[in-house]
Amino acid sequence: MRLSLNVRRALTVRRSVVSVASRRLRSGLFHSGGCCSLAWLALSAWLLASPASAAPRIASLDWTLAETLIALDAPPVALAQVDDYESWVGLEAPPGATDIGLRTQPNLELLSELDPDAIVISPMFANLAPRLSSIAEVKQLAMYSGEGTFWSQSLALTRQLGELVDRENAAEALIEETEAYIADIAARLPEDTRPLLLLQFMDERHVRLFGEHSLYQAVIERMGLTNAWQGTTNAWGFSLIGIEQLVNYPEARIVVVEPYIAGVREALANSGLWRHLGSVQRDDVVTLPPVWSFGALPSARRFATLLGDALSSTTSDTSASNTHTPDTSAPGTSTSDTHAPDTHALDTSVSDTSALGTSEQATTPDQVQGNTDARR
Amino acid sequence: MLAAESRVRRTSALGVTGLVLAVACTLAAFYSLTELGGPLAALAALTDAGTLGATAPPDPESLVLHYSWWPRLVMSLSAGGALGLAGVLMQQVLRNPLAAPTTLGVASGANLALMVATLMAPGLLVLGREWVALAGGGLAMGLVFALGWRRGLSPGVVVLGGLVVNLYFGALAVVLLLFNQEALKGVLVWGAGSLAQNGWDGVLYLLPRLVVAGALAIWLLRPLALLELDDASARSLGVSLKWLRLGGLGLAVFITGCVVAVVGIIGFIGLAAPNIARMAGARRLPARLGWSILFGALLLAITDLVLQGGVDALPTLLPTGATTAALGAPLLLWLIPRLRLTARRPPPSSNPQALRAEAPGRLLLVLAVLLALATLVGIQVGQSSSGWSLSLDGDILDWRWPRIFAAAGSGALLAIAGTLIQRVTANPMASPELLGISGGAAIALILTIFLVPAPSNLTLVGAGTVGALVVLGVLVALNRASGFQPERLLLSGVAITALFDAVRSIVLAGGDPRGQQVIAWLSGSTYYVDPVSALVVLGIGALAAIAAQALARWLDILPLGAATAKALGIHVERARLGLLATVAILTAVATLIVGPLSFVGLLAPHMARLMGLSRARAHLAGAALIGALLMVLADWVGRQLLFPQEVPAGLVASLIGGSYFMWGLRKL
Repeated sequence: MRLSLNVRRALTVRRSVVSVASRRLRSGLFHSGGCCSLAWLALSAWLLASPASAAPRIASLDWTLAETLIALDAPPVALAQVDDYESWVGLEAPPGATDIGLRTQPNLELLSELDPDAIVISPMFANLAPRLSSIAEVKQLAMYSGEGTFWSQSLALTRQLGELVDRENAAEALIEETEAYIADIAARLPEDTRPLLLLQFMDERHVRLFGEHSLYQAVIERMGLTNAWQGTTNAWGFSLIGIEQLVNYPEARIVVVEPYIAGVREALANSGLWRHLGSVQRDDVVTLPPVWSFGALPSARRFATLLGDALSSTTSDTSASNTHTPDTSAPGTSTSDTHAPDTHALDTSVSDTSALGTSEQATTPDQVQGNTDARR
Repeated sequence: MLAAESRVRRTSALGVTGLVLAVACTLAAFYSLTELGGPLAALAALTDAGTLGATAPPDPESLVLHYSWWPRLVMSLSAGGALGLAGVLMQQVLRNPLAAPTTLGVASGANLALMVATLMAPGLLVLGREWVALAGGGLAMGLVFALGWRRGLSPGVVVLGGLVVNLYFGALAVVLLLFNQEALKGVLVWGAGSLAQNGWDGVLYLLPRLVVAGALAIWLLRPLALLELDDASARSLGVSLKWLRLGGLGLAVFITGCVVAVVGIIGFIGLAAPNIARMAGARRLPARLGWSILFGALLLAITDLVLQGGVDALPTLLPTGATTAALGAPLLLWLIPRLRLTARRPPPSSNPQALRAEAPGRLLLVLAVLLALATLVGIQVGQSSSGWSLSLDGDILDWRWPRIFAAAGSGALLAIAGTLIQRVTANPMASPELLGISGGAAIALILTIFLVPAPSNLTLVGAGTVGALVVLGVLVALNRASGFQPERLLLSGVAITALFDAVRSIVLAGGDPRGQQVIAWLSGSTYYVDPVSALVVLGIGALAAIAAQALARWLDILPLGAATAKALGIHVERARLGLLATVAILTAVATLIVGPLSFVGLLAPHMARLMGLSRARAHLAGAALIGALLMVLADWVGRQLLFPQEVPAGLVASLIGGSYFMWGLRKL
């Protein structure tokens, strides 16, 4: 009984996190502005206009496959851990999808009752295949296998899924649109060529540092930025390291992908080492809302949006403040004028990130709205 | 003359051990400094605390030296020393060389508290993680003490209570982990015990507390030394045993809690350091205390310095706490044949084998009927997308019966194995899980999941069997010489289990997504069972139940002691080997189905005994029925509780069984 109470409560807590996350996401999408958003809307409208009634009914045990299916407008009828999907992928789950339980052990009775046409899994859960194959055809689709680049893998994955749900055109459109979208964001970036350190906090002493094979690195490279960290990574593109190793990259700008574990910000404020890191001393640490770090194209798109917004707004703020100080070595001062006309919407859309340092929380879109209103 | 000579020899052995460790530590320190500018730069960086803040960009080396290398060295020395101290205190109070800071559930309590706080009240973590960890550790310890209070905190009951609380909290933690793996990845890193530092905060938190605790330990030294006597003699000297034990254990728990709060769970130092001190010749309590602190500090520091120097090529850090546990396991295996176990152990002060049922036959019948009922319910009643229903539909039943049958079969297997091992070793702590056979299978499985791309179930089962057999081989090889003496056997098992814990911690801390699969398998689910394997398990279970009846004579006689058994014409060593091999095979089969965490092997024999089934034959049958019943119920409850998510049967069994067990232990 105690067990059920505990777990239930944990689930409720998570649900509220979800709603915040999805609210953030929605406003992020609306504000990201620009012709690309219009193209995206047009694309979705086109996709919506031709409902996928004939498409096969797919059950997905894997979030990465699910997000791609949703982007292809062939949403899975069954999805594992729906709530967690929303809070960690940061995208909304399709409204009709049935929750089939854990990714590692989906509910077999429920799954057979739903009777999907196919079940897609990642090779990680290959041991489920024998049991699942008595329910429906099982498709193993690999991502993060350690072979090839992130980009080639996610393109192949998108095309395979497109083929599976009979939407090859949508797959090609998704690929083109995502690449164009990221290129567009890249074009509007300030010319700040400082390398980045892409990390996620595990606790106040350890971070996951993302590098080769990772979604984050693939996206920043497409955006013309470089990753300061070139060390070894696992197949998922990260390495677990202690913060002290960040000392070796004083020039790099730190990009923190949320969530912060509770208490980490406070501990960092007292950490002698953290306070002496180059990026922290320059006060140019960027904080981004959660992005599924093991995703495919939709997560890549989301990451590009958030990073692009954050870099544009912080750099223009830094440049503004830098004009008061004699030492204006910070690059990117001249680029704010080269922004596309609609960047103002873009700038206000993210957060007022000028104060994003060690102990500041990334402002939620709601607060941003308040800020901009106040400024007006 | 002779006594003086042997004392000199002992002192020199201690001195040599200490010197070797100190030299190794210095060398390791120099080695880890090679890339940071050498020892002189290190000394310079230690002292220029003031200037670091002022100068514009300090060079990276001195930053790392000042804010990371030095605090880390101080932290490893003080944490190691503290754990050594805690270990001595616990081993003294519990009169058990197996006792260690983690035995009392402090670590698992702290771990669980941190997980719960992370999920439900992250605000508490802002107030201070150490307080959350201390509260959890204290709660676990309180529970252990509450369980042992009526029995005057006697060593056996305290260790047993600690074990059960450990398993119980551990199972709860795995449930949380299973459903919240993403949210808890930070706690996993902490649980693996990393000594990485990025400031002096941690050291400044830990050191003052250790100084206070050390002073208290010195104050308690004289009364604690009396605990080497047996209970009656100590009491006759006017010592309140209960309060003394409470004080000693409480102090040890406080020390452990502080260390655990700051750097996470550090395995084995608390167990290894006092034992090395004892092996090297420290006999009296003050000497053991001093040398244990020194050895603990040096051991941890050496491990940490070596790890710091040599793992840059890996895409993950090797957490020191889990690594000491992994390194400590072979050390313990080496130590076991050299430990003097029985000499210092007063006989167990009481025997939980108190009441005896008047009509065991009727009791067994009731159990069998209950099992049949549970099976029927488990197969027919369940939830679907449209809610609760009584199902007779063949399609649905085809999903259910293999799981129920496999649950029953593996429950019976583990229960029989547990009964055998508890009776052979005459040790209520004994269980197939503790022998390390489950752990061996689990290590092999984890390695397979991580080394083989997309492993099939057959590969996993094969690897698990190989792992279980390797452990069995090690157990036989190590214990042959001692004639399979129960305590040594259990110690070998504890070492292998610790190795498994270490491997698991390291693997999970790295945050590789394949960890999900490891957790899912470790939690012990009937999920992967297909009809064929279900029937095989059920068949083996039934066979084992019949075969075990033939062993009943041995089982009635062996607990009376080796001498008695020999006098009654039993070849003790051969009987123990035979029973042990049976236990190993039964455990391996059951583990492959329901994972290593189901505590049915520990609980079912106990529950049978608490019901009054004390003769071997009735005990075996009762335990098998209870084991099967427990697993069937657990499987069913687990599938319905959070529908459509499934809580694995192994976890539910340990939660149900653990609650009952604690309730029963309270009554003892």
